[in-house]
Amino acid sequence: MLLAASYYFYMCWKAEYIILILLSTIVDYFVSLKMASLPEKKQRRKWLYLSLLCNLGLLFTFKYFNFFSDSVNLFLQNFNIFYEPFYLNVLLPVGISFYTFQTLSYTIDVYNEKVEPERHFGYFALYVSFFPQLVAGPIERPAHLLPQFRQKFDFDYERVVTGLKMMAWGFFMKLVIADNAALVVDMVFNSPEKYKGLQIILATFFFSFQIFCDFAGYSIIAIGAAKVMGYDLMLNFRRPYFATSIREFWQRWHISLSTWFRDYVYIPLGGNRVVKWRWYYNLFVTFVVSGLWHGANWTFVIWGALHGFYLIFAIVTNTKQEKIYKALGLIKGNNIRYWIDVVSTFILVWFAWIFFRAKTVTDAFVLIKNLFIIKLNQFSIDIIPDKGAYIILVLFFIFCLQSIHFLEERLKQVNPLYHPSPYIRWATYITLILATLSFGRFSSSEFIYFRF
Amino acid sequence: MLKTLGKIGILILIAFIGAWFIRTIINIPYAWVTDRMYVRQHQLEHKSNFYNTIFVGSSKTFRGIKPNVFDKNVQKRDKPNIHSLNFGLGGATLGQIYGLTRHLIDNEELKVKNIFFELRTLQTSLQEKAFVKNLHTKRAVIWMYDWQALKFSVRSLWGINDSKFPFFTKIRYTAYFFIKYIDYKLNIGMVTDMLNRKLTSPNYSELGKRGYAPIDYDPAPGIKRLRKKFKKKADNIVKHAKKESIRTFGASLIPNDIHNNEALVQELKGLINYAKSKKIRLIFVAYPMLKAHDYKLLKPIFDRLPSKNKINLTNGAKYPALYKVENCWDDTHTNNKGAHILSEKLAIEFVKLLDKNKNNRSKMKKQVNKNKSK
Repeated sequence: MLLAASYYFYMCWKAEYIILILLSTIVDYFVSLKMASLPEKKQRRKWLYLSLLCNLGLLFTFKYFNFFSDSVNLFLQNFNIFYEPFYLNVLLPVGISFYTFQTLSYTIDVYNEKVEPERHFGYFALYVSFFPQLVAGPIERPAHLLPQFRQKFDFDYERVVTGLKMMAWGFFMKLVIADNAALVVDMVFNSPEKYKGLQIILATFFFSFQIFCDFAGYSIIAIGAAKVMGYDLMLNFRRPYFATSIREFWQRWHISLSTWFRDYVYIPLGGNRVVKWRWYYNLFVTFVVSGLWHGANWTFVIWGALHGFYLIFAIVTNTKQEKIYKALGLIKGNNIRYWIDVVSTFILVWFAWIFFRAKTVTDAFVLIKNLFIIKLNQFSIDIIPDKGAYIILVLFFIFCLQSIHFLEERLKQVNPLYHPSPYIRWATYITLILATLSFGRFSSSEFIYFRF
Repeated sequence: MLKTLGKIGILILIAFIGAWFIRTIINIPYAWVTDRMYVRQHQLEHKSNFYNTIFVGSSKTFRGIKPNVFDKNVQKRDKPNIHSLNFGLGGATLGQIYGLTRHLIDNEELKVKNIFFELRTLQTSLQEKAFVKNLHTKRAVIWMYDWQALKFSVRSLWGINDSKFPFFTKIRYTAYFFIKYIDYKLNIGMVTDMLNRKLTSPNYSELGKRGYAPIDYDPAPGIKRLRKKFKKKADNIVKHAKKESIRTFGASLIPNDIHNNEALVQELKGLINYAKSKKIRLIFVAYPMLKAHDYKLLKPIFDRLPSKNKINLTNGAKYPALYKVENCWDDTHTNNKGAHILSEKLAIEFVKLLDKNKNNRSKMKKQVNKNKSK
């Protein structure tokens, strides 16, 4: 029933693309069974290649082909070779990056004999297409999710309520913060040449929270929905904007993906058990590939490369940084040191988001150039014309969100949704519901054009 | 399970009370939903002693009626006190036009004497794809804002005699109407926009010429696309529309017409009486250049409305100029030139209607006096 629901969920978007999931499922199911029957790693390898070819081939065709074709064309233009590039006129299948990575982790784990192959086709198909996390993760590992499908569940009040609370929190993050912030962000990033200084700073700040609340919000809804049905999905975000270094940021941001890249790209490349230059190379390559995973555009590649550079720079200068801190009397655990680290990490991440959100690399550089043109008249509520209320509200809700994260992070308090006092809990439920209903955005645009 | 449902029930109740409280505190008139409506409302309230006539309808009204031309043509026929404003709203459905009209009737600050109501077919509003996409949008504010509006929509829906609207389709739309109603009651997705409207001043560039803005100069790509599509088959489209208009609106009333919707007729008559109780004359207008199928759906409704409350501009035989390619922008909208002609014709028909009603009243008075003297 869950499998049927998952397929139906996916087909609601574009029915014919279910074939891609089925193809990926069938290939990986039989490849894993075949690999399990072969004792030698060498013999298993060609079957692994088949799985990689199928999954990465699908991903390349639907997500990267046009980008690749365009890039080759641009490159050849430098040598005065001109031709009409070939483009595939296909829509990007929703969630393809997520489910291909999920199935890849399964075949690689079977290849490495870390997990036994799933012999029940239905359970395996459900692992690939489980609807709460099908389109935007978390990217689950077979050892964690597959055994849960065999368990039987009874109605458990506490579990259902926890799941519903998680969903409510996720909806608040997505509909109230992310979608309202998007109104301001879209205005600035869609016409980068029109905006300057504080406007860009504010829009990028909003984007930092838009992408966090959008992505983390969806993940929490997915985890909550799965919990209501009795399944535990892995935590995907852990207060990333309280990270004290870029390294820590990646331990808190999109955890299921970062650990995926760690286990299946970084470590196979040699990880940090190699000579220094090779270690830096491994880190850089992992981040560039991670950037490319996020989207088929050079902006994402630069974003990934920038994070790779941050990380390598931090490693190289670590001793010197510690010396400076020591000279200033700011040892680890010191409050001022903590906030300097949190703020400086946030600024680095914030800057990199410019590349992530900009439509083109040129747009990103226009924004960076205009970033430093700050005028006095920008210090007003009308900093972005006609968006005053959105700016106030989004800033207010970001403050609320970060305050709750601060309580959890520094004061080790629980989220008020789980507070032992029923008064605090109920006040939070009501505030959350009213805020989501009143301030949430439930439709991106109206279908009937107002301009008529 | 019961415990969970009980708690969810309490939360929903509190949400309704909280939403009502928020709306009461913010207290902003309905017109905030679009810049254009907001600026018109602002204009109406600030010049309430000037404006006494309002045109309510869809883009057909908005793009088709020039208040200046209308006023000039009425005034030169010995009716000097007519000052009108175009309140047409792009994409407005019959339910939304009904809602807008009631908002205007209920507004005590205005001194409106005449409201022109664009009569549209109900079926045009009920295209499921668009309807579902428009759920949870701000338009609930101008439409499903009270029981009366909900009653209008549900009653008129169930009055449809059309094989395209079988029982289960009606059930589905009834559910949509209730969702719209709940959207409004819970302020779903509205409060940020309401607050933003409170913080920003009206944008007067949206007012156009007393609410009218010619479609010819609108740069929106969607509008240009429609024009391009129309130009390919303009002659055929206009010829066919004219033929249909003469076949239906040129003919007399067909009794027991299968497309009649008695519930809708009763609701519209109720609106006439409601307006009358507030000393407002409500006039239903059937405009030209409808979609081919709409003529036969609109005719029975139009025929059953009281003659002193309706104007027919649909008949292609009577108004050939309104069915000329050079006066049309696309298959349903007039261009700037067409709007001039349409406004003129409407003014002439309005004066005729006023004179006819005046004559009827004096005839009735004479009759009453005669009876008394007998």
